[in-house]
Amino acid sequence: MRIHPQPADATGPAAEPPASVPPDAVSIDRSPVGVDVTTSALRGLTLVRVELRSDIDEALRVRVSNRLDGPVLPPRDEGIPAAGWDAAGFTGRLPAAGGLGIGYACPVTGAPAADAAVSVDLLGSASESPETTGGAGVADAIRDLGRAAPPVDAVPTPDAASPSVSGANGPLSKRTDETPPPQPVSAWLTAVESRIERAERLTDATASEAAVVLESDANEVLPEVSGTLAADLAALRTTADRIQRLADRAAAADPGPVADALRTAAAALDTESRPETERRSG
Amino acid sequence: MILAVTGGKGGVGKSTLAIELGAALDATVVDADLGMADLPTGPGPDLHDVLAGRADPLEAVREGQGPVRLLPCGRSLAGARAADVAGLAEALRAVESAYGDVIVDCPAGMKADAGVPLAVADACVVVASPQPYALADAVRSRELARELDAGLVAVVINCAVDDPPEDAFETVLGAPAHTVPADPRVAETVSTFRPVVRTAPSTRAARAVGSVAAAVRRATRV
Repeated sequence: MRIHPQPADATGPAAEPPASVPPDAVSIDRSPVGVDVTTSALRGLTLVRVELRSDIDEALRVRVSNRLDGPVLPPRDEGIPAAGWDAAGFTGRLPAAGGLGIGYACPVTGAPAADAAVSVDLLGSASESPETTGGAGVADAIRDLGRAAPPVDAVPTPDAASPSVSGANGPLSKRTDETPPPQPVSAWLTAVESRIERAERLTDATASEAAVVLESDANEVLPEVSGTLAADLAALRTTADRIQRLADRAAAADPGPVADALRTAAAALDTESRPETERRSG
Repeated sequence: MILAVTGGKGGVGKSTLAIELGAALDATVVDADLGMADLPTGPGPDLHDVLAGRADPLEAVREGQGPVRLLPCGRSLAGARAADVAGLAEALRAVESAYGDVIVDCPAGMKADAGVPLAVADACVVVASPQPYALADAVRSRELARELDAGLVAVVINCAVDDPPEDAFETVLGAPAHTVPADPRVAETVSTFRPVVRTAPSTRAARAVGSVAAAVRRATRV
């Protein structure tokens, strides 16, 4: 038996839909099995809501088939379509003198008319043909037990695996070890850093903060603090540019294969020439 | 035949018994412990790649690299996350149709990664340790297997030093219990990838594995 939902206004004035049913809903009240279908548009999808009501004193197996021009996007548990759903619709059990509500999404736009959204078939008594789960064991296991995948936060990402130098781009930011800079470079950077710190303490300083600098530092520092800062800035910029270029060249250079080949050739040459050398010496 | 080697708890010897049974039954062992694999692996695609759709199941099977044909599993968290356990059924059946009998080394626990192999398998073996609490774990594993239609062929009480209460296991679980006595060679089966049924077939442990294999053969060749 197939039930086709009819537009509510086609049933005439005697069968006005109740106020709670949205205007795009259709219903059938004349059959022992009633069907309410509602469609609504949401972000390029059509959401279809189907409510089945039965006055029959026996559980029924029902088939709800999608008639929209698009695939069925069923509700999912653990990424697996909920029980009863397949690519074309839903098959399930409508309890005796009870109701069943289902819903799905379909990627069609424009909220098609509810009366054309689904067709409902009654497949007979649910007690005569009990639900078979053959072949659905894997889906059932995943739905019922839940997936055991590690949480996404536990999965290391390439960014987290190699700490980067903040504010830097390019090969410098891909530093994988903490090799300290050579001692002269380190000493120069430390001296520059102390001068910058002093300048920072004088930046927007209040009178009392400036007085602390005045008391702690030698008088000769103050007249030249602006000059040294400008010189340090220029030196840092120039050095950073050069370091970046050198790092790029170091990262691009790959002498390994050729060097290995040269070493092998040199070793072979050495082996060949040795007897001759020995002959000469002897 | 697809046989799941399961057991509620980790460390009871599921992987060991899977390799031993794989050698005894000349079956392909699939390491289905997606999160914490422990069977030997190596270069080449593994089960993570298969379940992420990056490799064919058959190209992930290692042949001729040890005493047992093996489909290993990757060990990275990223691989475990990318692997979709829903594809395990298809992968196991592909290996079965190409190579014959399959032994699935199941993960511990009660999540889908432990359940799906049982849903696919024709039968299962539950491995338990001879500790007092092991019976409860074995019951839980048996219940999961029953729920997912994997018939329980045998219970293996592994690493037994004294005579374990086989009768209690058999009564509670409703399947014959086999005791595999503690043997240092068995303890090294996984790390050395050398099953005792091949290297020391006359030992008590190897004979016990042989009796489990015979029970599996009887139960699955109806």
